[in-house]
Amino acid sequence: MAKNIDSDQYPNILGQGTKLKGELSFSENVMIDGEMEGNVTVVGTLVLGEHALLTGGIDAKNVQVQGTVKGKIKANGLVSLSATAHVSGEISCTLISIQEGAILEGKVAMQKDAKQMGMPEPLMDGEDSK
Amino acid sequence: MYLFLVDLRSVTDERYRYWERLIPELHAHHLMGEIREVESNAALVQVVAESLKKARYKTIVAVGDDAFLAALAGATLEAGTALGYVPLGERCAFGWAADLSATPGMVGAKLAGRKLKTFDLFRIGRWYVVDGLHIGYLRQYVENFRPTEGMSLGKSWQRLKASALFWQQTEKFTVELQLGEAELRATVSSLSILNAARLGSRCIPGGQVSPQDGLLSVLLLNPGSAATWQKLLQDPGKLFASPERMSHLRLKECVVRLAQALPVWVDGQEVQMGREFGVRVIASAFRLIV
Repeated sequence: MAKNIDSDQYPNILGQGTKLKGELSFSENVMIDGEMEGNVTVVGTLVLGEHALLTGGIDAKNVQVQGTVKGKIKANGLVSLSATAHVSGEISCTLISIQEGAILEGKVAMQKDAKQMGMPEPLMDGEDSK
Repeated sequence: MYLFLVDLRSVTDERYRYWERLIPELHAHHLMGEIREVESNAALVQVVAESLKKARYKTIVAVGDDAFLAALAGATLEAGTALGYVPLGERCAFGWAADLSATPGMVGAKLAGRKLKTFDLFRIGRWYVVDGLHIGYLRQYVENFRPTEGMSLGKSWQRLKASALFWQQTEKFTVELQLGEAELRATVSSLSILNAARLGSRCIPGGQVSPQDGLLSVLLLNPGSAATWQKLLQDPGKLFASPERMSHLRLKECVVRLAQALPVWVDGQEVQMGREFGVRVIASAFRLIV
């Protein structure tokens, strides 16, 4: 199960055991904990649970990865990789958070300076905020 | 003055006597225009067409169950006639969810109050649907653990335990959903497509299935297992609302494909449906006095 996620915030859930092929767009938050082959566009936040295996591109406001992604992640906001995350592909985002243990095979392109957007600078694990 | 349509299929002798007890109340509120009894959807359509042609009644009231209200809503779709609903019987989940009842002393005042709300309607094959469609576990759940008017689902621990054990015993089946350009495949114990459901608090993230959001609420329950049952014991607050146990999507339309023909319940009634059928929402389809 996806860790530390309140399922009430996710009106759309593709649970364990589901297999999805094709292009999907959502206008609300989405949690995926099954398998998906194709591109997904989410206006809100996309959470990929520990059991998720997504082969394809992601375009969302925020992306939280706990499972496996093979493809490009594009987010206008925060990309968060949990300790169980495994991402093979390029990440393009404004903010990024990577927990110890996460595997990232690919490069990260930061779209804008967080300061310009009035957001706090990203912190590495173990770093104190000032 | 209202036109009252009584569905003789769902209003049995005993319920008919109950309905007759309401009639003086309707007269007292000066609502009673005409009572017509129908025994089929074809007869319903004919009576509605006659009424609309004469433009004699500003409101048509369904006296029966959810399926009858859905058929009436479908028949008045283009005209946009204001509807009333006197839910009589056991298959009135939509009516109860809309806070309607057939309790003497309340029906006349509510209908006379004319507080109108707009609701969505589903089209599934040739059927119009106000409450929802069930295949598999939840279909049998509704049959075996049928709610009664005024009783909220699942407050009883025994009820929860019985329903979860029943879930484990339900046979699984494979379903494909065509979602626009995507196809979803899953092996499940239950498929439900909901408009308004009191089951929502147990199954749906957030517990909400709104009949006013212009969306279908598609719920797939994974096959039950001893492991999931143990987890339910630890967290019974939400029977199914977890990605381990279910999938939930909010859509405008989809096509359902089943590996084999299965019994399908639409608004509490078993109907004949093929292995493939389309479902779409008609947003803000009808106005109902609530």
